[in-house]
Amino acid sequence: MNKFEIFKKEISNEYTHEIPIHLSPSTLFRSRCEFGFSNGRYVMYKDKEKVYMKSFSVAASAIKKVMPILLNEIKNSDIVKKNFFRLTSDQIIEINY
Amino acid sequence: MNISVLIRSRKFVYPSEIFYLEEKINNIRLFQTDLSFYQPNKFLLEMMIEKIHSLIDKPNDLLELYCGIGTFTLSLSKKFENIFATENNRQSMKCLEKAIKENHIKNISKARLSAEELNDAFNGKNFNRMKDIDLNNFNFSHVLVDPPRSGLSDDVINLISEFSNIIYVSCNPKTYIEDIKKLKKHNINKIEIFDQFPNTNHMELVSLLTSN
Repeated sequence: MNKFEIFKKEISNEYTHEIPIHLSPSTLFRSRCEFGFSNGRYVMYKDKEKVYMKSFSVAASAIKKVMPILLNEIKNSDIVKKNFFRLTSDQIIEINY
Repeated sequence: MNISVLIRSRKFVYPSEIFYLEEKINNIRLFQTDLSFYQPNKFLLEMMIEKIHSLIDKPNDLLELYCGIGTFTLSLSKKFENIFATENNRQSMKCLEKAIKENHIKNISKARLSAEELNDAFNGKNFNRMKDIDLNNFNFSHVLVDPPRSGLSDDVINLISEFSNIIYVSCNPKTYIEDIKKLKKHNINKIEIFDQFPNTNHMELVSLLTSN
């Protein structure tokens, strides 16, 4: 059973009518993304282990487009180097559009 | 390219332009920071807001718990006479305050209160944060709750069970079902699923509960 069928089964004692499901495209849907930054690359964490990101397919196309440009800007930014790198090796980068 | 970027380290925030990140949904300006909760699926958010609008019949005033940055609050101000919106997160409340001002909305009152503190307020406890707000001046027809994954506490269940119409937005089907079973005076009138996070086990529910 998929997650929708599991839910419908679990709620069936409380609600017997049809439950509409609104699907999302499986890619390009996130208008807000948060990444770590480590060793000059985007990272996310899985079970506390760093996963270096080459791309992030769920990010909105505008965010996907800006990711490599932003990464380059961050790596070359004096502000970031001066204010972030000396504080901690891992930074959080938040991108919205 | 219309992009805002925030970089945060432990004690330092670097915003690319302004501190607030802005998004426009249905011609309403919403503001957020990296520390405030937000519904991130741009394809489904407008649909969710429209669905909530469609669930509302005979509106007077709305009580909202866990209002966040006002994702639903601001839009629903067009539907209700008055709204009293509550949220415990300081950053979210600042975002809501800015959005109320920037959108020139006059019928939203707000207070930074946890759901449990709101319950205490209904039981007569005074809060400085509510000094300009008298709950007796509202004629609540609906309550909207959008709790975190942990769901509703027993105190909050008791509080909202006194309302005829409950709009329950949930990000956790498990705690949603547990809470529904405790709301013995209400039945589910309508429920819809919004698959905000495809290819994961997560999903969002929007439902209307009405008293028997």
